[in-house]
Amino acid sequence: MMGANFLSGAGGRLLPASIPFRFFTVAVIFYALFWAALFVSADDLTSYTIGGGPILSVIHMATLGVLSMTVIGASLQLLSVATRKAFKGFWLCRLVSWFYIPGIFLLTYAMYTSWYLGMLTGAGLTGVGLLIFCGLIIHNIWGVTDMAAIMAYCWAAMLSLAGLLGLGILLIVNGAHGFMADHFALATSHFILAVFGFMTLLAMGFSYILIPMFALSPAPPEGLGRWSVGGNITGLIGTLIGVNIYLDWLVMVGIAFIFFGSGLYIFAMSRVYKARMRKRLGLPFILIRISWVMLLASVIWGGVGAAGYWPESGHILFAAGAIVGWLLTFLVGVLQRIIPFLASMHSSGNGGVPMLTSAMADERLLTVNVIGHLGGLFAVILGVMLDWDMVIRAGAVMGFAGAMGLLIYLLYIIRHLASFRGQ
Amino acid sequence: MFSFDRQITRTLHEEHLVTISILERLEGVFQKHGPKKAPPGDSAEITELLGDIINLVACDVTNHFSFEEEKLFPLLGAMGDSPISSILTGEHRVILPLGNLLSELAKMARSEGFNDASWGQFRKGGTELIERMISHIQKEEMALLPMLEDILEEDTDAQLMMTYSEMR
Repeated sequence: MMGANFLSGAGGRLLPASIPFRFFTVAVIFYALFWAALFVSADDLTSYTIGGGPILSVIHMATLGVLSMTVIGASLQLLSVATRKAFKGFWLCRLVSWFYIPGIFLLTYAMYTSWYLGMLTGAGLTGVGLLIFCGLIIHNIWGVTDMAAIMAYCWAAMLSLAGLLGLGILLIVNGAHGFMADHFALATSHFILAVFGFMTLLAMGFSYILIPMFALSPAPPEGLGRWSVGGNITGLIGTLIGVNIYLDWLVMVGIAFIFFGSGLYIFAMSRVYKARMRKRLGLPFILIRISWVMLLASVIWGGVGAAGYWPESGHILFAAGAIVGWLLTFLVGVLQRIIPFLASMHSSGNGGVPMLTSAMADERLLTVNVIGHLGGLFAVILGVMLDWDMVIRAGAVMGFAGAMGLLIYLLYIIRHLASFRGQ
Repeated sequence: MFSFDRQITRTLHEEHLVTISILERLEGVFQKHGPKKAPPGDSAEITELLGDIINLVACDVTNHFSFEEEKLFPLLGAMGDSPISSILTGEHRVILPLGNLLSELAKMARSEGFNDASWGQFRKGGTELIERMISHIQKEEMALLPMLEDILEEDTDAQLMMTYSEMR
């Protein structure tokens, strides 16, 4: 069983609330910015293939702004508790945010305006933040022998992170100077490493801890996790090699392995879900279950593309399915559960009356978030399929309304936590 | 379900299951009946649920909490892992009075039925109890019970089980 006792000693290993919550707050701000920027640039979406400009910025608002930001906040909090090794020096966790957060703002702004120097500086700041994060994670998981599958997910995610960072900076420089022969293969590799490497692998790895905890359910057998991570890593390597040496059959084989690994992950999570003690799991699990469907759908759609059957906007549909459908939907579901859970842990640890999260913020805001997010996802996918920017814009409006619901909810929680700690 | 090897962790886990199942039934009743108007007095479902709540608070919650505070938390303290005990004890201090209040209201309702005011009070207290108790059980299932599995030897487990049976 994996991660079953990860909260042991949690009271002693909880980070100061300001560390995870700063990442979550900026992630939710970027979540709103992503939908707003998509609304403004909707007419460029289906024709986008490569290069700087608003759509590149929109993609990075989602991936670096929302997904990585959430993953960093959640990893810093959860990993120290899972491995039972406290992070040495909270200042390093804070240092990640001091580089990473301004870096992302600068990078996405510079991408939006195609400002080369800004992109390079933003990427540099972001990269330094991510490297410190990577160092913190590697230091924490070094020598951990139990929870082998979760640790393998973490290691593979960190290697992907190193790869995608290098490729990202190379892409910016190549965009300006054009010294690499195949910019497209580089960009595709960067996308695969970011979406199916770094973010998907960390999301899957932490699922083995988070989903049993939220569902009050036993963790899945270790073997399932090992086969799943093995399939994903093999698939990732195969796909990357195939893309770079132009072997379509190898890309197909790689995608088949990713499908196998993802399928096993979803099978393991379905077992966790079915064995849950708490039957009513509420809104977050609607998002999480839909995200699992979108994960498989995205991998299958990737296979269709590798076989050469994508329509003109097939690559955008693939990106939307993987980034918004799978990762964004999953992590928003996780945020909806982890924010009140952490608030409860922090309000319980001070010896006073533990706060009720339902008293901290109106939970109907989470309903607004779910409806807005799912409406936005559906409309964006439909809009891309029909190549109709008005439908994409309508989706962006729904998504923005949903994001504002989550942002207001989070700000209420933070305000109450701050006042509680002040007492 | 969780596979606990020790008798005491299995017993506490089974009590969590019973508690969650009663709380989910209570949640179902609250979803059916809003805060302003009391449900009809002849509902067999509600009468049965009230009896279960009274038993739950009297047996499972009270004894469960006392046993943890008197026997289990000192064990964790001796292992140097007291923060989780202090979090859980703090929650006991809030949940138990809330459970007692709900039990009293349930006893009154069993003899006199609910009026709109007493239903409103019962529903408010019940809603709070559900949220606090589920969050509390979550912490115990993910922290307390796995830690006990790690530290308990077979003879200590048997001793604790015997003590708990006597308390119940």
